[in-house]
Amino acid sequence: MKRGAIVALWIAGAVACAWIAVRATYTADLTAFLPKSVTPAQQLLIAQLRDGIAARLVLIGLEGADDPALAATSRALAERLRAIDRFAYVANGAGGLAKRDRDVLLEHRYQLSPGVDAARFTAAGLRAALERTLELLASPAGTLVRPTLARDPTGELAALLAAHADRAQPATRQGVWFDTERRRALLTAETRAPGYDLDAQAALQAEIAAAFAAVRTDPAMRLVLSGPSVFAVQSRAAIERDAWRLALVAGIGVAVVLYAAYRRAALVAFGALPVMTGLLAGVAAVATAFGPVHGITLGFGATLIGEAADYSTYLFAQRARGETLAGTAARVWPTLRLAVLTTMFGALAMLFSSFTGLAQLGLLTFAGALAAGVVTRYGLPALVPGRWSRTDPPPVLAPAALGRLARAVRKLAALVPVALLAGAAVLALRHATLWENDLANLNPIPEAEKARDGEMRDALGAPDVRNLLVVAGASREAVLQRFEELEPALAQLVARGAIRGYDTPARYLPSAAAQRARQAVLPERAELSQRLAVAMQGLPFREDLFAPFLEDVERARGAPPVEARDLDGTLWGLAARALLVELDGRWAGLAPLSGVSDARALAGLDPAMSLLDLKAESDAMVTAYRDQSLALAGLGVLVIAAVLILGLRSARAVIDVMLPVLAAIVVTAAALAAAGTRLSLLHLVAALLVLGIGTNYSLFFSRFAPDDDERLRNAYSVLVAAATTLIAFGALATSGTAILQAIGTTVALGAALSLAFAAAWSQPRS
Amino acid sequence: MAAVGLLGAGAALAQGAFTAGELMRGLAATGDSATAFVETRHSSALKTPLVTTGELRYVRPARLERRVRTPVEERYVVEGDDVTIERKGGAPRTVSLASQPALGAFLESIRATLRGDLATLRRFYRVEIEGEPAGWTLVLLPSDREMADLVSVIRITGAGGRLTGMEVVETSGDRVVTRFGEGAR
Repeated sequence: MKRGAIVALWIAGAVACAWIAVRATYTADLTAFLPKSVTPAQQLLIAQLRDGIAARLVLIGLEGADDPALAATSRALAERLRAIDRFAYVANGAGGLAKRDRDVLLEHRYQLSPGVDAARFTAAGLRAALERTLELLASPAGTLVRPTLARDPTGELAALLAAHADRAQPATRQGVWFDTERRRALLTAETRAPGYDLDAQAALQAEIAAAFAAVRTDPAMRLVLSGPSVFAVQSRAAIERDAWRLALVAGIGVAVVLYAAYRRAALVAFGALPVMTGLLAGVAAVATAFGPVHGITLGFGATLIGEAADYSTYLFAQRARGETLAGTAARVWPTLRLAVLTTMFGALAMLFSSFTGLAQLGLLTFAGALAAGVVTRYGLPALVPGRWSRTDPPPVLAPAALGRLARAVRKLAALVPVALLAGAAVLALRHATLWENDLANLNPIPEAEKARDGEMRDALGAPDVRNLLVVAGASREAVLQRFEELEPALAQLVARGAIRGYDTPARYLPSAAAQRARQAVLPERAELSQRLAVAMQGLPFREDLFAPFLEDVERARGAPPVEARDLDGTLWGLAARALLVELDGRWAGLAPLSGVSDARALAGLDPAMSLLDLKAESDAMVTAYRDQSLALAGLGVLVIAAVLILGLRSARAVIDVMLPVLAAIVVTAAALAAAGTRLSLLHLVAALLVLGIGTNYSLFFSRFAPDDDERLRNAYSVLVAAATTLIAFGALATSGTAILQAIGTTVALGAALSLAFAAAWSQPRS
Repeated sequence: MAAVGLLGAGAALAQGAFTAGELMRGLAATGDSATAFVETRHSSALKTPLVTTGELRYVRPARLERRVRTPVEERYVVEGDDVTIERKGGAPRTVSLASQPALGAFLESIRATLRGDLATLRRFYRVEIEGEPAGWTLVLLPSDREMADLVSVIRITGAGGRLTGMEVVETSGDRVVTRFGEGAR
């Protein structure tokens, strides 16, 4: 093929991939990275993580001023935030219930109120209710009762509201929620956007800060935000800040090394083309095969494909004096091809993962390495002008010096298997504390912020979201009915002291059956009118006063059941929606429990109910995820061995290639464990990258070398590749962000050890 | 508006007018108090006005007790940020004033006045004063939206550091008129 045709084909392919990548949808939904085949409990956990009320709740604290100033600012801030439609509910303890809550509850009171029964609508029941209402009218609460007196003389709205007021309320000062101990005014804001939509969450947090800046009465006053979405936004911002800064540092360092090696800026730039083409191809493949591409796939994928950045190094740094680049490519290809194939097929194992994210990662690496390899072999020789001849390695890397160094290092060959065994021994000794199982610790929140989150949650009396009772059913109605049947058993648990309290969705949204039962006891208009006349005898109410009441009852008799959407925009609607979850056409109802002191009493409660310990479930899921990743990585190692056997046709050669890199990975893991680091998925992904680049080091060190020149070129290309890797990941290792630091440390250490072990162990075949 | 305000201030100065601040200082200097009351609700919902009698007791700084004798015994005790309601034949119930803002604003109109606490009154009301130390009327216009939906104006009358009467005009058109003092019986 003509050079022009190859470049045209390459550009066309890259443009096509870019087009797919641009049109692809990207999701920041963390849970897309979680497994598909899981237990219902885990599905529920995922639903809660995605869109649960806890994930959407922002805790707001105001501090650093006197109480009246804090309270005034709390009111003003709440008013501003309530005007923003993207907040579903803003609460600060003042204002009690919003007008909308009252209106909706008043409208549906005869279907919602547990106080509606047959006795209440007898003449005697009505009489008792009217007498009570008259007493209220004569009390300080009379002003509150008066507006709805004609419509609601039996006080059904008051009964509903009283049930709400009886629930634990946070402490107040100056009429707003206050953490009196820490002199901090407290508010909560629930966002409509799901917790994982970090762009939306970041925008809303900025709105809160802007509103605060506009309304605070004292410039010394401070705003503190807390909650899962706040932490997620903060850590993403920190990662982005760090990543940009370190990418710049690493980029400059790598460019300097490559420039020193190639002496031509254009070659440094061309050297980046295979890895960039590979990334585009990988993303395009994932988008085509999976649809939405996950942000983490992209992040991890960009890391894994970092190996492909070395491919052009193995081409450029291998160029012999007077050789065309096409000639170099043809000469190096048997070894480079093995480097590419081991990476591709090693990654293929991940395609079997039931975790979508891992499968995506496998495909991205597979397609990316393939594209980068092909571009290095055929694209670069076609693109790079032939007159750009190579330059020799710098004088410090003179053949004689390198040869001496190589011989000295090779004397240490016996240390490699010893290191492997020692590392394995350390890992075996530490196996009990080797792994990080707590999802929260994968992305640690600073201790001070964690403590403050705890304080704010305590002061607000937020429920213990760790323990939930779950009732599953074929429909929302079935779940609600079940909760109504279970109500006495739950009340008994509280009475027995097994739990301190509970909440159920049926308290906010009664089942249609319960609503119909209430509607059935409402007398028809003429009958009710008669009973009311009897009940009113001797009371000072005007005879025709209660016409609106008669009308309301008549309308309630024929009303359709109240559904969740009828309660939208109210506290009741929010609670009902938060506690009812649809999963693949089935429904689950959640009953958050507080103060669980006897979990066994709950276990024996009712077969229809299951206790969901969210913490235990998420730990189990992390463990399953990691175990599968580990098994697939092991499978990947076997696949790589198989590819090497086919390529090298010698078991001894395979051991020569794989022993150094496996020893490097084991020693790296042992060093991290010995330093007290708990290993996680991040380390595993980093180890996979080490496996890819370390295998290449051994492949090139042990590459066939008929003479000293060839031997020098092999060693030189590995040294350049290793130098770029150490600089890039060494920079990441200095990050203050846990995720970047973990990847950087693991890869830098693993690559350095791979280089040393490969230099010591791998004998060039001659 | 500014000009009108200035004119008003000028007129007040010319008369050497009694200010809300002076009244509050006088009330703040008054000790604990206990007085009988008769409260009458005039309502379009009722054929005859609803009359309630009892005693009102105030203990500095934050306790207000309203004991109803007739028609049914009942006790409201406001203490700090909570109100406890005791009725015959029922367990006492404690409600946070913050969760019942209108009730809180209403009870504060009496308690904060007795305490001489102008800042708290102004949290809920626009405060105006008429008359002189020996016979004054405190006019409270609700500024809180929820309270303003229920109450048009509260007028508290008094002489020196003593309350003599109170009138609450509701947006429903009802008027609740209270007389304090032994003469109220």
